[in-house]
Amino acid sequence: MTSPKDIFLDAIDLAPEDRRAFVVQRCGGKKKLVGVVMGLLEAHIGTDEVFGHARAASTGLEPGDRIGPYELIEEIGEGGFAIVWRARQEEPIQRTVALKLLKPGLETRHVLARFEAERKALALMEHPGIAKVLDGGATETGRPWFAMELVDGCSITEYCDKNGLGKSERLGLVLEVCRAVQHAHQKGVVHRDLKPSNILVEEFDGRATAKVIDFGIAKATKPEREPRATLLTRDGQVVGTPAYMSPEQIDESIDVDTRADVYAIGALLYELLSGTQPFEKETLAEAGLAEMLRIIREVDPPRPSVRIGDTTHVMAREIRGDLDWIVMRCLEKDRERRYGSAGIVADEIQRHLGGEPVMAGPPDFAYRAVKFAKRHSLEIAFATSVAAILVVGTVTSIALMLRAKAAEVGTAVELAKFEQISGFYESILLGADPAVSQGKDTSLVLDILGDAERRVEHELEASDEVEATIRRAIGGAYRGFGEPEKAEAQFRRVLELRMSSPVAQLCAKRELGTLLMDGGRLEESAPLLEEAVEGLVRELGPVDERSLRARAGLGTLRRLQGEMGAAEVLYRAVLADWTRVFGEDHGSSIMSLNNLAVLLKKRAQAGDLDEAIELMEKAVDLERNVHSETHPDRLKALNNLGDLLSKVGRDGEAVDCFEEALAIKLEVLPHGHKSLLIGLSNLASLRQKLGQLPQAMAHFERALAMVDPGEDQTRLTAIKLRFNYGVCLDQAGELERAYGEYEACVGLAEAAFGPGSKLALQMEGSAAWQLVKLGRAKEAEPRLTAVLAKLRVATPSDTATLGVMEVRVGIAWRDLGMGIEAKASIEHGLAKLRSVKESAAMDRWIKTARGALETLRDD
Amino acid sequence: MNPSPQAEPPTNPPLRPERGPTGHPEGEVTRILRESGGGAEEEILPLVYDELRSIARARMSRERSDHTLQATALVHEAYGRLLGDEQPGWEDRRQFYAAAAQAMQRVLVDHARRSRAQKRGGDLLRVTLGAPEAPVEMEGDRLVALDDALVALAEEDERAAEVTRLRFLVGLTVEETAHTLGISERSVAREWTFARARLMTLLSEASA
Repeated sequence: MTSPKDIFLDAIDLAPEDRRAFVVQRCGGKKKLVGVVMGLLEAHIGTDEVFGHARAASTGLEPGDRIGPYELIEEIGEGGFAIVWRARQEEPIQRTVALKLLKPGLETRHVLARFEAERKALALMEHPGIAKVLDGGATETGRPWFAMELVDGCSITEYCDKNGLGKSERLGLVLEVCRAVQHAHQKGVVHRDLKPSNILVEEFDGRATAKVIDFGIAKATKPEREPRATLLTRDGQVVGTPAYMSPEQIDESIDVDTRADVYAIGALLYELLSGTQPFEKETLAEAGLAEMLRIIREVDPPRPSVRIGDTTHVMAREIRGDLDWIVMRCLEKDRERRYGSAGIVADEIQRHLGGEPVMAGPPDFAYRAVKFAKRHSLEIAFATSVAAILVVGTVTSIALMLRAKAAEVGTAVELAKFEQISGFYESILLGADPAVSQGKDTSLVLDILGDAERRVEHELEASDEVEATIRRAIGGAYRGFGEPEKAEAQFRRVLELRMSSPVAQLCAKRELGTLLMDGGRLEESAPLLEEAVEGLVRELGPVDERSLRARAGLGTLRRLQGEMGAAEVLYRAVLADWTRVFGEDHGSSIMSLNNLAVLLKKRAQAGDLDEAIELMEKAVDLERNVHSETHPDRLKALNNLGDLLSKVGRDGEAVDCFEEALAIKLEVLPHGHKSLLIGLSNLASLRQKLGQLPQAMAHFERALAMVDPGEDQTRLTAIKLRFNYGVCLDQAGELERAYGEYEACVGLAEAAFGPGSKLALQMEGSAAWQLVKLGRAKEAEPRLTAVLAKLRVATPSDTATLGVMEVRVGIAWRDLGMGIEAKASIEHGLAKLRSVKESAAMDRWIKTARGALETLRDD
Repeated sequence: MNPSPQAEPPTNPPLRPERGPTGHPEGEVTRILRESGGGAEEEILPLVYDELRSIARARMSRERSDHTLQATALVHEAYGRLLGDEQPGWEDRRQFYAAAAQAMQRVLVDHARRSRAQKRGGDLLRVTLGAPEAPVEMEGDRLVALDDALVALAEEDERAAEVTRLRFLVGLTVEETAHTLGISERSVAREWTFARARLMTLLSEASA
């Protein structure tokens, strides 16, 4: 039986909000036991008061001590959970570094995992403005450390004042900071504690360089999400610099993102330009805690130029206007209204320095936004995000339609408004705000579309033709943003409109048909696509672009309906027509190659796969000439080809394709994008299958570093990734680390889907099984039996899972010397395993079970 | 462990300066440690106890203005006096600290109970415990309560109680504790985490 002590100690490693569920599950329904453990957990919170806090553990290190290849020289800094030493390396090169190590006594799984994750994230960063990670490891006692580039300099504010820098030089330094922070954001790291003391300026050959230090450590070493942990110490004293803390950072319910750093950059700019922090130190110091929090949340500071007080002051004159607005935009209370990223702030500063108009402005800034958008309209074509193109396209076409309509009916005012709006949103999207382009925060875009939709509904007095075009554009954008129902409504409205030419209506039918097909509603889709093909071919001939699209769509429908023959005929005809009319290196011709290859892959009759590979190789080849290296179609083609190659066992070539696709994704997609994760994880699995474990692990680690298990949309991916990573470690013989990953999966699965969920039970089963493999059957046994009992109730028909669990329990029993029970359980499990569909995994389990029975017989 | 720490120790302690080179605790402790080959804790316990108590008494009478004893300082001083300049081996240190931990608990609680019994005129005992760089101050009454809780904890979980004595009463760091007990630092950290939480619940049960 597990003691309250064990349960308590395991629970302590979890984030506070996950503990109760964990305890309830581990106590297996024993209410009294739950009470005892929860009592211990509650008592734990108060222990520091009575027994002193964690710092009571001495660092145990002295100058002259060695860690890895480094000799400690002196302690140069200390945070809540880590200590920084100046240290020297003699071999193989002589250098002085900053060595950061976790304080002793803090090695909970939680803290360790985050320290390690952060070190890895830091290691990914390659930027002159960020102190580089050089090396890392753990002491003999398991305390992790890493060595960083040592920055010899003073804080940015001190440097600027000491050297009497002017506005442009100050802006130049902030620009460097922005670029560094932006780089980190692209790697998925939010600093969260940007302030002058964390931004050091160093001189190299007389040139000043800003370097951001302490990157993400605050995040890495914060052991658990304590309320307001960033703001308050345990005795209620304020730490950090409240002036640099965004409102959301003092609100425990909000997860902090990159925009908190944008806020801090704003505060830094404010201080460097006006000479004072946004909120005067004295005011905050005197305010008391509650008042201070209120100020940070609610009070807007005066514009920097106003803060200087003296309107004739050189700096006040220089910063009035654009710079005021840039700073204030960064300091917006509502992060939705701030710049989306540090990169945009950098662009703004650069524009200001170059005398160009900036995006930010006083409330009547729409005209500037439009001006900006016009200057950059060509760049739309280069925007990496499909989403951005879609919306910009939609909004632009709405604006164009309205312009046409305005000429018609004369509502110039309305047109102007629309132009402003579209220009403004265009400018936002051009900034490639990662939150927007990731599809993570599409609310803004959906708002625009909703607004457009309402206007069309209530205000538009145009001909049906105009309305149809606008609605099709809105519908298309809705589809692009994953709102098929709203898209469907728009397309259906178009079908109700009266039109002089049937073509628009036929196109709407095709769009609606494709949409329904994508949603799996094949029967509804069929008549629409059939009518569209028939009508368009009649009206425009078979080789008009619109007809060809409809014919290709119908081909896909047939394929989905399982009519492979019909689909093949359509696809081959479409491919021939596209190629003949538009040339073989036309985007649509290549898409047709792709379609046909997919069909052949699905059908997989003799010769199909080889032809499919041929087609895809051609497609990938042609793709090179047509689209940019990073075009989404190219990605798709590479992935398809890789998939095909792996199907015929040409795994080595397949890996090349996937690696190439992944390199593109890493370049164009924002950190953490779902497609990036899928790419990394597929590649990792393939490498794993090929036995290339180090590469597989590197990919898993990279994927894990960018997935947020707290995010609803990615939590399942996060668990699967971690689990597969564990399997990989296990295969590589790293049993202990694999066990750690499995345990982490248990926690994640329980938090995401509840302790009784099938996934959580499966993870628990794997973690406990790993314990058995580690020779800790005694600990594992109660957990395994509990999982088995629960699975029997939860998924009585999942024979495979139950079989595996019975074998596991049996082997644990064997290890504990319970031979008779062990034999019975393993035999039960084996019978189950034999009854399910054969697979490699099942084979392995059957072998394991047989092997175990052998050893029992020997005894 | 003796659950009744009120039991009076045997004799008055000799005064420090009168010590000679032989026949004194210094040599005795070293000899016992050297000859025992393990398990010497019980034997040296009375000697360590005497030593600690005499140092504590001297402190209490000398420093009238501030009656705060530093437990760690006491142990270190006792260590220095009992083992002298000899550099004891690891096993000897381990045994010494194990004994010191128990002795310290008794000395402190004896003081606390006595001063409480004397009520008026008795010294109000205040002690700092834990690591010297982050001392925790504790008064007589709480010390007695802690002692009771520690006795109860030792019955449930001797290992956790042992870690508490070394960490809290003797002021050893996690590393030193790990070294003394021959277990990993991580184990010490876990035992210490559990011990603190359990002691908290025992203390609150007692006061309820």
